[in-house]
Amino acid sequence: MKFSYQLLKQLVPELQGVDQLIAALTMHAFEVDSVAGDTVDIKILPNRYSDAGSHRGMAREIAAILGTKAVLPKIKDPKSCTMGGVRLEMQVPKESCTRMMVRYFDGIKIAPSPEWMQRALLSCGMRPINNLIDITNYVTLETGQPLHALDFQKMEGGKLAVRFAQGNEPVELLDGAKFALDGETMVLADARDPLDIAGIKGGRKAEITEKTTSILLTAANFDGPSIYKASKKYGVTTDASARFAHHIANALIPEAIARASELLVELCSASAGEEIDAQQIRERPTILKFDHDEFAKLTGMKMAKAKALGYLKALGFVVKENMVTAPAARTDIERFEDLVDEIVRLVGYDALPATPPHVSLRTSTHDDMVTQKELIRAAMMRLPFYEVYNYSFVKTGGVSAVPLQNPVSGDFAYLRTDLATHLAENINEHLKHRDETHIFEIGHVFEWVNDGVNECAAFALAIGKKSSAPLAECKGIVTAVLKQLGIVDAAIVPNEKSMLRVMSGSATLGTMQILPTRSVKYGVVAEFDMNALRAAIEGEREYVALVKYPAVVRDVSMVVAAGTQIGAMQEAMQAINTALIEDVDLIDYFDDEKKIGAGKKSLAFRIIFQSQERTLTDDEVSAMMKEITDVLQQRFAATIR
Amino acid sequence: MEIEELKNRALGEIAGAKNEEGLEKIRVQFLGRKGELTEILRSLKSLSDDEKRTRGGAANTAREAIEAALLERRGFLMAEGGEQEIDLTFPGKRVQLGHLHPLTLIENGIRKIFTELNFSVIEGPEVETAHYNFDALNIPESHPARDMWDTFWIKQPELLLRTHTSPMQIRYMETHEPPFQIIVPGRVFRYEAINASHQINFHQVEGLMVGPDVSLANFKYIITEFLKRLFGDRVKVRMRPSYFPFVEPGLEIDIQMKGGDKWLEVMGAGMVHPNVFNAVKYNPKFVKGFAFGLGLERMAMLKYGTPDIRMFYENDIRFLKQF
Repeated sequence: MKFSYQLLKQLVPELQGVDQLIAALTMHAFEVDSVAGDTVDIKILPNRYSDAGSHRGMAREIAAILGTKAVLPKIKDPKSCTMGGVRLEMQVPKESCTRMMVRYFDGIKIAPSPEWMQRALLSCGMRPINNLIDITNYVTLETGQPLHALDFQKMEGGKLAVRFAQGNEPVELLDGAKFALDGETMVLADARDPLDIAGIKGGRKAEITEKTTSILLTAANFDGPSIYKASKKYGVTTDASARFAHHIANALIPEAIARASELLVELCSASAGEEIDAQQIRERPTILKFDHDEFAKLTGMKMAKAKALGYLKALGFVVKENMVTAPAARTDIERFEDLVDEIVRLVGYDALPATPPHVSLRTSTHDDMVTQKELIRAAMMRLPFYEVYNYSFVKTGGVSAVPLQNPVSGDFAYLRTDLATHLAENINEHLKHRDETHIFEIGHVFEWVNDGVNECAAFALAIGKKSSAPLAECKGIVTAVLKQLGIVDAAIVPNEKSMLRVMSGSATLGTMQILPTRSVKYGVVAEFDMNALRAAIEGEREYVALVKYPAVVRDVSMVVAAGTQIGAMQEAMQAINTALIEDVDLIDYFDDEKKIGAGKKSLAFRIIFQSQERTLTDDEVSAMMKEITDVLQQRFAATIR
Repeated sequence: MEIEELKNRALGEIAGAKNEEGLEKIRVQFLGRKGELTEILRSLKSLSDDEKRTRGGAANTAREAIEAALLERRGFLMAEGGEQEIDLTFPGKRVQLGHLHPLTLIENGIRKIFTELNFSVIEGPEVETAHYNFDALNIPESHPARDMWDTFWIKQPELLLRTHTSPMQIRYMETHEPPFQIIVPGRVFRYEAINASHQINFHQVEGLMVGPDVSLANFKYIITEFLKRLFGDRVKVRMRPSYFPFVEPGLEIDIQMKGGDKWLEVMGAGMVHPNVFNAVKYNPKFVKGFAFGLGLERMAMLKYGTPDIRMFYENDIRFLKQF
């Protein structure tokens, strides 16, 4: 909110410059956004519009901080000397409009407002128009109360009503915008038409012009949420609507009317007429008990009670023993803790001691998910992979994707259903500048399930390569990482054309997807459900006795047709003797056409024979090898080399 | 004496030997089957006993000396690498290491500090209800206070993407008894225009400590301790008044880095508002608490000097490699 430094200085003569003002406000009340010339832009906190959204209120605040008193000129409210014969009818519930004051003026001569007023308005970001309109704006700057002047001669039926619009009732605002108002919207109206959207903006019908000579000056207080909703509904936000939405006090009204009356008489040659005050709700003063012990406990600060109460007095609170009455403008003071805030901020947080808390010592814990993430990250760091963070949003979504009602752009219209989508994009990007990339991500993914959102924690790793498909590498890495987590029985099983399933027992931990080569060079993404991983983790590590007997290693090489499935061959070899064949490992692979001919591939396996109970004899091993080569030749048409 | 002269000659040649081959030649020449000393030793049998003793003694001494010299020279040549020299300026092999994302690193750092202060670490859902994200936190509907958090809606007015990690205060208190102290790291979402300092998804760490006598002074201690550990002892910390609907008193914390002149806002905080305690059915008469929320990207940008928040989500390898 923009303030005029000059005007503040008038009200707080002890002010010694903008720097002092900034320091005082920042450390004890509000941040100052910027200073340019006479304009000081102060960030009024959302709960302080009522008492500090005005120069008089801000002056009181500044004076309290500086330990001095504000010099607020006494307002000379002119006596009534003329009569408009106006009637005021309140036709809304008392909560909707808690107070409304109107005053009649005539003999008005429209002219430019004086220099000092124009300067103040300009400093506060407003445009001077004429003395009458400027006075209404200026008095709002001084008091924080919005004012609205209606041209009395344009009003029909000699009455002003505060009522709800009748369904689709039309109104044209001062800027020419036309609206059809619904039955929830409050208006000031004459005998026939709405004259504004109440609390938001004035209408054309009773618009002030240079020909205006008599007016009805109005000042009201409206229910904050109603004004806030209406402002959003019609898309019109004004200084007035912002003030009402932030809840201001009825108490601002009489001061504003009196001050405006004074200035209208002084600057517009106006004659003041009758005044009507409809208080639908009389605001009760807020009286709270100041519990000094509670104050000491809540703050941890030792301060004499008299000193604490002294700070409240400086802020305009009335103190009588332990009972404290808040100034009428302070709509933010509701409870004891609000008093604590006032005292602490005024003395300043520098004065607050820093005291270590007393706790009963119990083990601090980590959510399982936190620990699991740490283990995964540690494992991936060894491999080595880069961790990435991608957006939670994607451009397009399938049937189960969750759309946003208000996306910020088309690129971010849905919540992601997997991590793989963005990882594939990452791979594409990385392979523009390097030959290979290894990345992983841990994050949440989302799906519509039964009219609700199902949110899951996911972990995915991706490998991209320019030169060859990294499927084998991915399988190896996945097995190693899962082992690190404590999942020792993971199996990677083909599922569809380019997709595999990672299983532990009968549970699916995740999937492995070969990325289509039109979107990346060569890529594989493995993605896991973190909860499924956790469920599959075994307990503690257990020692397994070392085998005393030597293993026997034999290699076998062969050529087979290109389409022969290596996994099937391994299974077949292993099946020859599951007890004595420890491992069948692919150690060489070769499919260069020039060297072995088209449609063929050359493989070499290393077979490890091991018994737990004895040393195997050459004859035994050779016999098994014969069975192996037999099965390779018969079932897989292998040519043994 | 002839043997003495022979020995000196042998030792001299050994000293000048440049390699294994040369040494072998010398050994053969003196100690081989037809070696000079070997001949002398063979000729001993035709001598008288007296002559055998003196000449034999001298010959054996010479043999031991030559053998010792051969051993030593061989050892010396091996240690020196003989003629082959190693290029000590040969460049080191580039070893690939894994890299955690800088946001993970800073979160880990923050977690460590708070764990050492006996805080537990909790996580919560990213999709939330308006009740947990706003109402229970004393942020009512149709109130401009809600404008402080621009919201992504999944299904207005109930389902949204959480705008802060504060909903976890409510969820935790609903399911636990005080006293406790927790932090909650997590991703949050704001409807914003993406630019160098604003993102639509980013991360926060929420803190909450509740107990029978937790005070504002306790908060000052904890947070000052935390900031000094994160940014170093020379960081300056200041607290100033502010407003959030779910705390009272409410404040904000700024830091000033060593050598800097600007105060940089790093978090909001305050004493838990009695309305929040009522929402979770804690009796505000018997418990007090403080709460704070800090922005992780902001912390990372201050600590690592990254100028643009978008970099954290671009995943450029050259950027990730730096951490």
